[in-house]
Amino acid sequence: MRIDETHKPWMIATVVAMVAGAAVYIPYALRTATPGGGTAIGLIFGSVALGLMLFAAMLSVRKRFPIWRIGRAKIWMRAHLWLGFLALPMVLFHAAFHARGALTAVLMVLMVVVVASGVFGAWLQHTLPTRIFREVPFETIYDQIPVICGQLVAEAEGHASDVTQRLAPATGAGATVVDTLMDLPTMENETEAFGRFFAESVVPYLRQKGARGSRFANRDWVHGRFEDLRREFLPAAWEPLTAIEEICEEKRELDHQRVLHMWLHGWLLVHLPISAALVLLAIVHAIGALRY
Amino acid sequence: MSEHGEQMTVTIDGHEVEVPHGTTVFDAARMAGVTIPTLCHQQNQTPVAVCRICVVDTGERALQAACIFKAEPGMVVKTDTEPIQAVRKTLYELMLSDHPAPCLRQQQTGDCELETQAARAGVTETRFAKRAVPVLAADDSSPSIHVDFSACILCDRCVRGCSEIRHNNVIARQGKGYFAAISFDANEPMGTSSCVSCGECMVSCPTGALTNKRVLGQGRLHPEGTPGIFDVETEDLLALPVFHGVSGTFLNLNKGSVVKRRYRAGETIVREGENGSTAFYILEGEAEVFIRAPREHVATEAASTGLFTRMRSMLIPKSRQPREEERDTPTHIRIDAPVDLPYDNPIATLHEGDLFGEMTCMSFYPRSATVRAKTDCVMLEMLRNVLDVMQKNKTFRARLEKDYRARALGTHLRSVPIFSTIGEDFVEVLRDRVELVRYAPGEVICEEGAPADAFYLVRIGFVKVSQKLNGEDMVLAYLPRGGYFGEMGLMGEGVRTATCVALDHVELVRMEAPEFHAMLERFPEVRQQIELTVEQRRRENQMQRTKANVREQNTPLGQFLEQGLMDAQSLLVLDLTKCTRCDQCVKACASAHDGVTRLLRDGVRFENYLVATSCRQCRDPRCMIGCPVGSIRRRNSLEVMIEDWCVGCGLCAQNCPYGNITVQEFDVRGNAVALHDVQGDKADANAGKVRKATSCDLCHELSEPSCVYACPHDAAHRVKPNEFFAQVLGVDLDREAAFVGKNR
Repeated sequence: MRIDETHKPWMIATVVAMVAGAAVYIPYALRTATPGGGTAIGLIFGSVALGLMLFAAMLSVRKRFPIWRIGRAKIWMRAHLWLGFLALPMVLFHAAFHARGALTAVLMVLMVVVVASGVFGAWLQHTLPTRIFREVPFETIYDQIPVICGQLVAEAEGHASDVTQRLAPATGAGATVVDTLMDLPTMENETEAFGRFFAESVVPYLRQKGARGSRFANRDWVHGRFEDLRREFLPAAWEPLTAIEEICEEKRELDHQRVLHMWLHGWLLVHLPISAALVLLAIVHAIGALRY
Repeated sequence: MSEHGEQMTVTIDGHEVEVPHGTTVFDAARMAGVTIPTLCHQQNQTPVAVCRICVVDTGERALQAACIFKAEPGMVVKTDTEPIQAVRKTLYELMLSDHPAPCLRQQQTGDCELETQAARAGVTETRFAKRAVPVLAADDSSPSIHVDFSACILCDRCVRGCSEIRHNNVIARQGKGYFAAISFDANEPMGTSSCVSCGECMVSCPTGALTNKRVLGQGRLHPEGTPGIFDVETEDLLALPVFHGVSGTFLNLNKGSVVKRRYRAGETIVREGENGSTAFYILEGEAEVFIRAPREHVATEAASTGLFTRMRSMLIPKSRQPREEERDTPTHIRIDAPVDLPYDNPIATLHEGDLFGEMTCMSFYPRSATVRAKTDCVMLEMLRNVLDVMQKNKTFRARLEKDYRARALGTHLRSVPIFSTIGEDFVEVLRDRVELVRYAPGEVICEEGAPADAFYLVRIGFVKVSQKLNGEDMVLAYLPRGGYFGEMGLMGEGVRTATCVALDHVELVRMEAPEFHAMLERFPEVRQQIELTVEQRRRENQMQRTKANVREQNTPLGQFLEQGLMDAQSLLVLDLTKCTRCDQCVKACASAHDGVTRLLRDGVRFENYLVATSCRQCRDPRCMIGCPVGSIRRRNSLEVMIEDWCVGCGLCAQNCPYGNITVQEFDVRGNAVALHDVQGDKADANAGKVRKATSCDLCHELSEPSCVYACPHDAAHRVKPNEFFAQVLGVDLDREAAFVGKNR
C-alpha cells in the first residue's frame, strides 16, 4: 500500500497513542522498582498489545472473504499497518524493555522481526508498484508469464525463418534475370551463423525461466549483437532482426517483472509465518502468565 | 460539359438516337436497338468494365468499354468493326483458355454466355495454352449451389449480385494474378460461410461457375428419407393458399429447400440458443413457445437455510433489483415469433398460420426460444431463399399481416412501455391503420432533415439511429424489436431529427402521420407518455451532441479517444502505482458471481492507470445489436445489464469490441427446474446447465462493486472517465454537457 497523505490521520493517531502510552509508562516505570508485565499497568499494556496483534492478524482472515461488508479492505489495511506498528511500543511498555525468560525473549525477537518485516514490506509496496509500472511497459498478469514466454519463442522462430528466407537466393518468376543483372552477395555462411546464434543463444534464453547467467540480460550487449547482425546482413533482413531484438527486450522485461513481483510478495513468506507464530506464542504467553 | 437531364444525340452504327446526358454508350446502343456483346455487365448492376468484351470505337485514341463510357453529344460510335471483332476474339480466346468448355452449365442447359458468345464470334479453338497454375478445387459444400472455380471468368457479376442486389456481402474477390478467385466471407467454403443460398449469384453467373444443384441433381435441406420429413411437390405447395402467386419455376428449382415436417405433441422443434438457418410455418396444430425460466442475474451462492448462510446474509446485505424504478420496466421478453412472452410466465402458444424463426432464417441470429409441439403438428420448414421469396409474395404477406393484426398487434404494442397501459379499444383503432413494411440490411428507412411522415415500431431486426455531426455519423441508439422511432419528428417541427438505417432484415409497423396525430388526440394518456419520451430523448441527444462537439474541439485527446475511453460511461481503473498485483479484486469479483470472475486484471493503459477488462457501460453499446431475446439492455441509469432470460448464444460477447462479455455455464436452480418439470422438458432439467452471458453488473445489488470494496491498496476505482480524467484531458465533458442542457 502506498503511504500517502491519506495515511496522515492514522499516523497522527498512532503517534498520539504512542505518546499517551509513554506518558503512562514513564511515571509508572519511575515509581515502580521493577516494572514488568505482571503489574496492573503492565497487564493493561500487554492486553492492548495482544489486542492489536490479534487485530492485525485478522487482516488475512478479512482477505479470505473479500465480499463481506465488514469495512472496506483499504481501511483494514491501513489499520493493520498502523495498529500493527503500534503493537511494538505497547509490547515494550508491557515488558518494561526487558525479556525475562526464554518465551518472552523469543516473543520479543519475533515481535521485532514481524514489525521490521512489516515495515520492509510496506516500503516495498510503497515503491515497487511504481517501479513495475515504469520499468515494465510490457507487464502482464504474473501467472501468464510462462504462457507469454512460450508465445515469444514461437514468434521469434517465425521471424528467424523470415530472416533466413529474406537472405536466401531469389526464386520464382524473374529471379534468374535479377540474379544475372545484379551481383547479389550470397549470404550462406552468415545465414548459417545466424541460425546457430538463434538456436543456441536466443531460443534457450527465451525458454529459460529468468535470465541468470545469460548475456541476454544485458540490454547493451544484446543491442550490440543485433547491430552487428544488421551490419552483416542486407537491409531486407533488418525488419525481422529488429523484431527478434524486441522480443528479447520483452523477455527481459518479463524477467524483471518476475523479480520485482517476487520481492513485492516474497517478504510475506517471512512476515506471515512469523506473525502466526508470534500470535500463537503470545496467546500461550498470556494464558500461561495469567494462570501461573 | 453536358448537364444531366438534358437530351443529346449520338450515332451508333449509323443509327441516330436521342438520349439523356450521362447515358453510357452501352445504354445508348440498347436504345438505338444495337446489341453490344458483354459478359460482365448486367442492367441491374453497376458497370465495372472488367471483361472488356463490350469495347467500341468512339473516335478516341483507344477502344472504350461501352458499359462504363459516357456518351457525349454528337458522338459517333462503331460497335462491330474489324479491329473490334479481333479484340473480342482475342478476349474470348483468352477466357476460353482457362474455361472447361463445355462447362457444367453448357452441358446442362446449353446457355453458358461465354461459350455461346465465343461460338457466335467464330471462336471454336484457342491459340493460348492452358494455365500452368492449378485452379481451386470445386466447392460442393453449399446445400444448393455448386461452385466450379475453373469456369469462373472473374466478371464479378456474382459479387455485385450478392452485395448490390441482395445486400448479403458474402462474395468477394481474393488473391491476384493467377491466384485471383471469388471467395465466400474470409475464404471459407460456401457451405460454412454466411451465404444464405438466395441464389442471386447463381442467377447472375454467365458461365457454369455457380450452378444450381437441383439442376445437377443435388441439393436438399435434409437428406432424402429422413424420418418425419417429407418432400413437397411443387404442385402441392402451389395448392396451399400461402404459396398462391409464388413462381412454380422457383419452387421447382429450389425443391428440397422447403420440406414438410410432422411433430408429435411434446416433441421439441427448436431449442433456444441453438444456431439455425430455417423458418417454420405452421400448417396444422399448435405449438408452445417458451424460454428457460429466468434465473437470478447475480447469484452468489445456492440458496440454503444453514446457520452459516444466515450469518453471511447478515454480513452481505443484498437487495433485489429495483425493477419498479425503471422507466422501461420490461414486461415482455421479445422473441423471434409473432408473440412476445410475458416476463412472469414466459410461455405462449403459436397457432396454425403462424411463422416463426424469421430472424434466425434471414439474419442467422440464434434461436431465441424453445418451441415444442403442443398438439400433433405439421409444419413447413424453409431456407432463406424460399422465405425471402415468400415475404415478397402478396398473398403470403397479406395473410401474415392479417394474422399479425388479429393476434399479435395488441401484445406487441403492450410490450412497448409507452403503450403498456392501452386498452382493447386502442388496439382496435390501430388494427386497420398500421401496415407492415420491410427493409433490407443497410437500407435507409428515413433520413435526417426529411419530412416526418410516419411513426415506426420495430417488429423484427435492428435499426440504427444516427445524427450527422461535424460531417460524421454519430450513433444515438440501436433499436431492437419493440423499439420505436419517428415520434420526435412528428411531435416537433415536422422533419426527421435522425437517420434510421436497417442493420439487418427489418420489419416495421408503420403508422402514417395523420393516424398518429388522430391517435394522440383520442388517447391523451398515450400522448403524455410519448411527450415524456420525446423530451427524454431530446435531452439524451443533446448531451451526446455536446460531448461529440467537445471531443471535436480537443485534439490532444488522441490516445484517450483511440482506446475508446471517451465512449465509456464507467471504467474500472487500477492505479498501477498503488496496485500490488495481489488480485484481491479478481477474487472478490469471482466470490460475488458464482466463482466466475467478470474482470480481468489486464487491458489498455492510460497514464498510470490500467483500464481493466470489465464492462465499460459504453455509450454506443454494440453488444446490444442482435440479441435475439433483447436480454441485454440499458437501465435508466444507462448501465448495460444482461437480464436473466439470456439464452447464452454469445452474440453480445462477439459484438463487444473490448472482450468484456463472456459466456459461462451455470447450474439451473430453484424455479428453473420447477418450470421445466411443469413443462415436461425433463431432459433439459436433468442436464442442469444453462449458458448465460456475463459481464460486470457493478454488483448493483450491493452498495459498491466488490472489486473496489475488496482492494486493500486503494488502487481499484470505478470511475466516470470524463470526470476522472478531466485534469489530464483538460476538460470536464459531463459538466459541459450539463451546462449546455441547463441553458438550452
